[in-house]
Amino acid sequence: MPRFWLATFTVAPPAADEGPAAILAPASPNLAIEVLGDPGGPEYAVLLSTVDDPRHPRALTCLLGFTNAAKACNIWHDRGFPLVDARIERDKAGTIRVFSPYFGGEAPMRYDSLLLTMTGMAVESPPGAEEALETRYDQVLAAPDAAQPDLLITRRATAWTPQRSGTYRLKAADVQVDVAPSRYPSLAPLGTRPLTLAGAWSGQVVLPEDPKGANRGAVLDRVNRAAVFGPPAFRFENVEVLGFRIDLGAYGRDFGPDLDDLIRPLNFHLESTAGAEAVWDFRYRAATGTLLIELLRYGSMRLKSPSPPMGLADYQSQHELVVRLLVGRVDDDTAQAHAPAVYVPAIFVDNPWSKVVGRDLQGFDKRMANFCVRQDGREIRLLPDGRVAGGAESPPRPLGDISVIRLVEETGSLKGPAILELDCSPASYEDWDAFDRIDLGLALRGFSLVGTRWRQGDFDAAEFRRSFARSAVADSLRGFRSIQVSPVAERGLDRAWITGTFTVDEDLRIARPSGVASLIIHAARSPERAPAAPSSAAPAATGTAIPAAPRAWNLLCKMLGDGDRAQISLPTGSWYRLVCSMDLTIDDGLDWTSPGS
Amino acid sequence: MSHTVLLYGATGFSGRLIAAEGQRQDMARDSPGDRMVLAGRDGHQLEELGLRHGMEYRAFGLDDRGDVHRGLRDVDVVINAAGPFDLTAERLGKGAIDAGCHYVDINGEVDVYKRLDDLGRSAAQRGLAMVCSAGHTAAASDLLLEAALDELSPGGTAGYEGALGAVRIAMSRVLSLSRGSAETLWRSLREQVTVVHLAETERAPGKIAREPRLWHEPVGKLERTFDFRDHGLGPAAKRDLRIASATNLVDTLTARLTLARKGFAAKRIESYVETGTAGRIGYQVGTLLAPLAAIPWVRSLARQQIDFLALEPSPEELREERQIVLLEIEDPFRTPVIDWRWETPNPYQFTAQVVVAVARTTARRRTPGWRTPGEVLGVRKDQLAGGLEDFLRDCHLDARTAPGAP
Repeated sequence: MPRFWLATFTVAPPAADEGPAAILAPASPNLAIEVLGDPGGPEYAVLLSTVDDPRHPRALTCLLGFTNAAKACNIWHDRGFPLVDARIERDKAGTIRVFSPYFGGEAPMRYDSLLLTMTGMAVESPPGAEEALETRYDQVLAAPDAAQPDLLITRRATAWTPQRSGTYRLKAADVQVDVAPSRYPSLAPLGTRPLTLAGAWSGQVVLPEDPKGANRGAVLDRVNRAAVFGPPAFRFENVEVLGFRIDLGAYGRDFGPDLDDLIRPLNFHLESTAGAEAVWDFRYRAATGTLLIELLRYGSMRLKSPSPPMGLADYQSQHELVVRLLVGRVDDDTAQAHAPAVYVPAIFVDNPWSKVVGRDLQGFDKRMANFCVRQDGREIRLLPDGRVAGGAESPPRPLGDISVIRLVEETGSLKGPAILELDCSPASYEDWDAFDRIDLGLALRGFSLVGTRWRQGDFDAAEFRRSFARSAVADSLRGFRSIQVSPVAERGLDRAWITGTFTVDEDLRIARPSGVASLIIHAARSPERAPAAPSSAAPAATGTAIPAAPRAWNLLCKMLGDGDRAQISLPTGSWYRLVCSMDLTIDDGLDWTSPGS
Repeated sequence: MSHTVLLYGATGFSGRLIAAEGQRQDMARDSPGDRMVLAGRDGHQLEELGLRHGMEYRAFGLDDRGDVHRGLRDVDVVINAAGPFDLTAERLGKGAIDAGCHYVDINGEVDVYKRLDDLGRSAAQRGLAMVCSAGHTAAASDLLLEAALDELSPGGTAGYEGALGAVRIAMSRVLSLSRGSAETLWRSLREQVTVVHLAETERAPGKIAREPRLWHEPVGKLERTFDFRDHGLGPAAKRDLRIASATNLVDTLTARLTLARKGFAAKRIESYVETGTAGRIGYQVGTLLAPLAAIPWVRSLARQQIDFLALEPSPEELREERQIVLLEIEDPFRTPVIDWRWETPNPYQFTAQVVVAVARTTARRRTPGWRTPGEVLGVRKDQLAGGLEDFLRDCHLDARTAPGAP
């Protein structure tokens, strides 16, 4: 059974000029650190919480945490625990080290850097009687507001009571917590104020499941999104795209039901029977049988307006593997299609903060993945900025060098199933870097863009031809509307469509290398739930820590292959490279003046 | 508890009638109960109207979101009486959600209704109500249907459960139109007629159910004869058969919602308006020429013709003109089970009476989401028959006995 180690502290009062403590509730001087770990395995979770009474803890609220169990991290989030993926190591002396991306003194984010160290954590049961310890985590579930996802967050209270057993109070020990000087995430008061250990406990723990949502409490007031996550306008620079057009028409089968299934989350409204709603007379449908698989590297992702402690210069990077479908809103009665938008049914990233924002606020069901290159006959993980992880300082590797993308099972390790193998190394193509600069004003009148994203000829269904196709093709390059549904998982909060607008800069360049590119798509499913005791880092609901790809990814594998594997060869013209910069803004559903309204 | 009702479009024809109704219902500035605040673009006209009715006013346009937000501050319900609703309903509806107030309008355009109902979900999540088409269109038929379905429901007198045949709504001719109504009518000529029929719908992959779906019929295709006679005049009353054409009315959409909410599924829902011989010819010709209406000079010509109309009906016309609404409901075997005739004051006056009641009730009950006027007011058959509520004054129900009713 998983073990826990819980330590509580009283924190010295803040200095006069000190800002709020990020991991303490306002005006609370009491901090708790709980480490959950699988005794036989490598999975850990570290929860940094505020606590009511450090000597007799009853109510805690986790305000930040880390886990190296990738699948569990999403589940923790959907239970209201704001955990971030991190590499976590524990040595024989009991020292815990957490490595997670953060913003230090420099503008670029640091990756794979030591953020938090705890020493003096002993979990061995001391002699003496067991002590009952009943604590409750009061958490908050959050999702974007349906009408104004750019401005407001809806919230709901939730409470979790871990079942603890074999609990012993530990003797006072010399617990020491060291943190890196990070601006974001801020770990204050750790590193800024002295802590005094108030109590420490150890034992076994299980976080029970709540399949019926009985732990959920009242709906809370909406809060300003910008105050929590920063303003919802982003700037992406040095974006490189390696894109593959998958034309389902070439397979000679009817993929209509599969396409409907791929975009099923968009049609959540058809499954609701709430009495306070109008009758819905529209549905989203895939506009074409051509879907895109794109591998991206975002050189820099930054906020468009400062949000202290983050400034305009601060940026982070990431790799992304994404499936894109063009969808339209089709009226049931007139069969007219409008509002073309790009829907992403499956997406994999390597930056945990991007995952948090994308998953919690923008409806992208992001999964953590390792983007690997081969070097000296072995796979090596890349950092989000393209440099080789764990190696000496080196320039970023070309995007085309990525040969395998693996789901992350344990953050920081290469464990995890492969989901995509690519064979399109730059060395294989003479014209790999033969980029054309594109005049977006003229681009769509000629055939200079043939081979990129969607074409007029991709639209077979009558309702998507003509004006829909024209605007969709035009928008797919110069900018496009995205549509997702949030929250991704059931949180007891209303689901909503989140639309955003990507606007591409004039610096767009396109290359269509000559030659064949090969992809092998692998399905990744969680094994049947193991009867063994659950891990603690992976909450009880997970059953197993083996991660799974999103359902849509596995469905894609079934559509294009045998359900486990699909091999695709793409000739010249069916794949492309793009280099551009772009902006993303989340639409305000109550703004009738914006283009997305 | 008193509420503030803001009337936007107060200086228009319908707006002035609503303001007068507000004054009649003691909603002036110094009222201890609900207050009406007049609003619109023209500050001078508003000032004059405010003085006449003893009401405050706010002048603001709908072009700027900030102006709308400021204009709706401290308001509990906004009534949108500013046509054309194609230009105002979405702005004021979104502005209402943004400002945290309920929204009620007197829109009569189907496409506007269908566009606006997307906002119902957002409104519900904020605990706000949206009641679209709370004027004569579609409140009159919806009030009738609400009461009629209560009669048919298991708790009611007739004992029907669920399945129904056709539901037909028919209106007598409107003789005196305001210019705004004429413009709406002109626009509707270019549209097909929206009806509802039961059809198989795939809600989710593999999940197929028979549900009421919108359907479109060509203008002029559906015509029917309805008996408009008043049985209250006694057995000697002659049959008053009039031909009516199916028309693109919001009433069809509200009827679908009301039926669904009450647990009924009708095979068809159709709305008709009485059309005389000339009207039928005009309707057909107008439809044939509808494509031409997209040509700017044709639009301009039509607008000139509309401008020749009187700005609004005269007080005499308003007083003398009565409106008749018929509601026919069949059982699944096409046997009539409801055959009701409701006589109301002229549509403009009835709109004023009802929309104020809807707005005040909405503020009081706070039932969030997309609501129909009949649902908000929830009147029973005896209330309709007796005109028991003030907003039902001068109304007369003839609940004609249907031949096949149990």
